[in-house]
Amino acid sequence: MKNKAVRRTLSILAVSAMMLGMVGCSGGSSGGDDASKESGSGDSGKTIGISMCAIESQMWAEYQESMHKACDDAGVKYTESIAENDVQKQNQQIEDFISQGVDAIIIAPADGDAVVSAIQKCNDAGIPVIMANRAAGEGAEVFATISSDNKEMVKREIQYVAENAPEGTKYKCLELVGSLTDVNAIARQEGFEEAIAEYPDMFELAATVPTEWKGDLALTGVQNAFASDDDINFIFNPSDALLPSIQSGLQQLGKYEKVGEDGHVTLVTFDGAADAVTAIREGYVDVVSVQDATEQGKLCVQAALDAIDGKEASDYTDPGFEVSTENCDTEYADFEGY
Amino acid sequence: MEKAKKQPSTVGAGKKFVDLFCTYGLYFIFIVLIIFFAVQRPNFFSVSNFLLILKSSSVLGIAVVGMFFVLIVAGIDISVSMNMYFSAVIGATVLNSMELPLIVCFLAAGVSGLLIGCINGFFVAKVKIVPFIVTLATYSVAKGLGLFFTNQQMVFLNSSVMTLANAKVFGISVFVFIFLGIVLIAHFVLTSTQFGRQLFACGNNLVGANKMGINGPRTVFLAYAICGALAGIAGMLSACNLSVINPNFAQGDEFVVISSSVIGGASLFGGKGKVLPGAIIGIVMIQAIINGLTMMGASAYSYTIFRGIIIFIAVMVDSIKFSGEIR
Repeated sequence: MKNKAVRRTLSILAVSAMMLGMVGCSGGSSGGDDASKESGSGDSGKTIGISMCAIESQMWAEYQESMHKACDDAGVKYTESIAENDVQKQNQQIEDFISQGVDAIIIAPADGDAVVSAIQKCNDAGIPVIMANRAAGEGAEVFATISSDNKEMVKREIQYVAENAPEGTKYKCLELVGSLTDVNAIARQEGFEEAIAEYPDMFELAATVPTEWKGDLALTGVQNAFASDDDINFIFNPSDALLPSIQSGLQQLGKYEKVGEDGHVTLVTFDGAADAVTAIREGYVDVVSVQDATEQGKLCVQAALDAIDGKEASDYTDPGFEVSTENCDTEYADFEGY
Repeated sequence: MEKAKKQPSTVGAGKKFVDLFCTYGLYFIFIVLIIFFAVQRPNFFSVSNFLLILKSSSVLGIAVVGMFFVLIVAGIDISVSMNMYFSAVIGATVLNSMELPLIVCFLAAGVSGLLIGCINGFFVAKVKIVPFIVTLATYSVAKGLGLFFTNQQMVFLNSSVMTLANAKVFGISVFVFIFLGIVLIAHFVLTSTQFGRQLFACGNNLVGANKMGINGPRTVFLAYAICGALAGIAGMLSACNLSVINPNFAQGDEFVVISSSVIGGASLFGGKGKVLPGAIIGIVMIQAIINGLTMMGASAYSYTIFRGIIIFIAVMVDSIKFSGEIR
């Protein structure tokens, strides 16, 4: 009997631990109730729900911080949840926002298509939805979408490389791809492939490696691709979150050289993280296309406030800008990255 | 009468085919794939590429060795990936904030993994909760704690880790030696010690093992503890290799580790498995296919398809064997 009671108690403890862990998983830095964090100066009486996919890169960390700051500055309360890239969890968290009666919801979706049903529920409840960085799939009515011009930004990067390459240069390219369910990853992949197709004499695609936004897959992919073709001299990296793994891979291969040095592998990356900008200043990375996460975060909150106030909707596509070894110490001397 | 005579021979041939397929089918498919890759890309069949595949296999291979212990006692450890994440975070914290030697960081990561393994072992062996639920709970807790400690940010490791990532002996990465060393020790423990035999006995029939005087709960507890410690070391090794820990570090690796173990001959039903060569074959098979597909310039979508097919066949074979056709 005593044993049974002990077992029962321990079983309850195990389940409690699991619940605790799940709260931790969905939790933000605040560590509050189900990851929600409320600004203290929320005197407008309005609340914005922020549903984040995950904070897996510096870009998302900056995005999140910018939204928090914008809410605080506007005196609006916010409640936040982080889905750890679990689409079902994100749908559930959005439904929780609906039942909490928030006035607007900002969604940074893990998967734009998978979140459509939750957005439809927001539509039914009359709660305006603002999409952050990733567009929603078809069938969802959103108040505004704040995103980056992924395709064009990548195309400009390739154009930069093409225009600055010495005559007769031939690039054998390794293309890394993010999560295949991420519209941004697909847009960057399409942008890259369309861009190199414009310079058929200069670029040749040697390998495409799926990474699921995971560093270990990026590292293995780089090493495998070089084992297959040691002449690869160009890597397209779709997110700065993968950059340290790529750098590690190149260092292990003895191919991490500066721009202009023998054996330099041209490195084109995306996002604008601090370590990418530093690597550009040091001369190891050629160019990064920067999405203005600070501005996008602010615009998301502004759009949510406009929606609450019944103002007109306006989408915003961040054109981005490129920081390269050429302009990092002149035009963008003050830009440190995220 | 003739018909009656013929029937058993047809059944016998069918059974023989299933027998052969279950024993060698996966290896046959693997060899065909290897030949295909080698014909398409001559580089594939080179010593340097083989060493690269071995190195790529080493990190998760260590976790596979640990998983063998748990599978042998008819358990399962879902928490292995988040154990890797949490332990790597602990190891990296020790490295970055205390600037202690790398070996101490590995010890810290190993101890952290061991603790998670002990929690798993305690609830499975002593409290008798289903392993799937217990390890799912520790998966969540370890992930939550890791994210909490890192504030959901990337953790960059001190540049000294690159020395280890780049270190080679006779042109072979030290990762490979660490992996093979662990495989050899595990092989010795499983085949030449009393504890090893007890693990198999518990996996085959826990009640019977208890009646024979084996301390079943203690044996099962130790299996989970070993699995946890090895996952911790694997996590730290992976962090050194990448020089960074992302919030999605090791996510989904539990499937790779469990499926590699099954491909390598461990059974989800317990009581079976040879770490040497099983743990090596299992993970190398998966890494070799990824390597071959990259070399072929295959579509990004093909990776998951191939991996899925291989895992499906391995689990199917395991189920057929368990259903009594071969056992």
